[in-house]
Amino acid sequence: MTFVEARDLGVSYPILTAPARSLKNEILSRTTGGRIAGNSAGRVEVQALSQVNFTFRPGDRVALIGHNGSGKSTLLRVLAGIYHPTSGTIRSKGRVAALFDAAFGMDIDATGYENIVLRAKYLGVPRPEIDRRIDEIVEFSELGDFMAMPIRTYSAGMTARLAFAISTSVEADILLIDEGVSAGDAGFMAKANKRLRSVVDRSPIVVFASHDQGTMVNLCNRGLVLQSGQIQFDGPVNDAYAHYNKLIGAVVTEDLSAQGNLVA
Amino acid sequence: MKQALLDTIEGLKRGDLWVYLGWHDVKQRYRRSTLGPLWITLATAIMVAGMTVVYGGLFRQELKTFLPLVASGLVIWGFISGCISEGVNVFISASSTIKQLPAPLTVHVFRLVWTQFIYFLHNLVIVPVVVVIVGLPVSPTMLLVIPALFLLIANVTWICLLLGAIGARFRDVPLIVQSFMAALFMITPVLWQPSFLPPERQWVAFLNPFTYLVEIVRAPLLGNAPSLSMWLVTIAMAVGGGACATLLYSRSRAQIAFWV
Repeated sequence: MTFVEARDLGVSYPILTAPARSLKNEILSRTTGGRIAGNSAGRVEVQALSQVNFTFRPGDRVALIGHNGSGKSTLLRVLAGIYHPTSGTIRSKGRVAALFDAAFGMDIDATGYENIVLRAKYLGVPRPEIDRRIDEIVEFSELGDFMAMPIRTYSAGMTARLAFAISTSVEADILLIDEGVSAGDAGFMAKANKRLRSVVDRSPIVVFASHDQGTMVNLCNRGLVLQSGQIQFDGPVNDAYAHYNKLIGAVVTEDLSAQGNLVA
Repeated sequence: MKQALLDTIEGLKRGDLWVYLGWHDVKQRYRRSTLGPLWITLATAIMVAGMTVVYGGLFRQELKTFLPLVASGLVIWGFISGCISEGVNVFISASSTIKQLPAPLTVHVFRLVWTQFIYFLHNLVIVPVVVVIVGLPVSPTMLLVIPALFLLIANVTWICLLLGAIGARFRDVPLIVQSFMAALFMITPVLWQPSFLPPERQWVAFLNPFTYLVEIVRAPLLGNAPSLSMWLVTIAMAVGGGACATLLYSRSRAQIAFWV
């Protein structure tokens, strides 16, 4: 059965300033006892997540709630297997798909077709399935003959459409969505929303990070409030928002029932 | 340590991925030139011709013996130096992918070595042509080039992994490595052989690990069997270096995504 389980999960990483990125300085500071090269060569550890515990099960639509820098994106990247925990454990079962900034990691010199195959190969999609997806992606993105052209000849909107179509063509057990999944012009937006909704609906577990409260309440049934890398609250999404708003001392002025748009 | 080994095995298992990515890199390079695949070979051929005339003159060598030496040396060195100078940047240049897609990091190393190997095969075409031109006898000994290439690949792979991890952490390392590459080319027997040196100075060549990497492939290419010590040193380097690289990789694996 699909699940994700975190036990005392912690992630800390070094912020390396320019002097700390130099091997020459590193050696110099060793030989001089660190006095000349300055205080430990400007190394700062950031505790991005600490003592995080949760279990996600099928049916969970989890909203990650927190202000900038609270650890939402780090948590998503840990769930995606990109960052490794520095303490504690994370266990999961099921195919993970991540919808982050989709245009990131595309090869601008390669054609649209090649980018579809590249991305799919990275995700370990077998060849027959890739071929099936290509048709579907081409149809959805409405790029037609442009698919055989290098991406650098595309307009920003076209690139965004292709990226969106590729990243939402996934079949996953655990779907991770970071905010700012962009899909180009307004005409395309409605279509994109529908598609994103259908991906969300067919994924057993969804973890969503966004600042758009309307969307989150609409889409999720569980909320995790993060502050300074720690979980402050874990429960029904409306209660989570109530807790979060109390936490930041804000008054809820937004209409929670508003039909939020999934795509920014 | 166990994780690092698992990562390496997992990376190898994703062969279809890095084989595809490698071909993709090569195709991109074709696209940027009108001559396509021919361009890679032609550029090396021109260099071989030029180097043979100039250094053959400087070293007072007969063209007939010097041409195969230069051709094989430059082709092999092109592979080694390509792997090293690109290898030190292997994780940095894959940074957008590393931060976006979960895949074993060793995939990027294998992709690089594979791409460089395809270039190497393009250039390798020159060697048989030269062998025919100067009329070297073709012998079954030349088949030893196959195990020799395996050893060379094993060695450059660990060098790539090691340098890649260090280069991702210390950003001045790529620059340091790149500035040493020219010197390394000069002090390694690529255009010359240890026997060109006065006997009391030959140790300079034999202390250099790259001497063995070049020579193990060059000897069979030109129809000579590499000596037993040559095989042993290369195997020892592959095993020892592989262990060092795996150890370092196991310590840095989890942090590379933060560094790049």
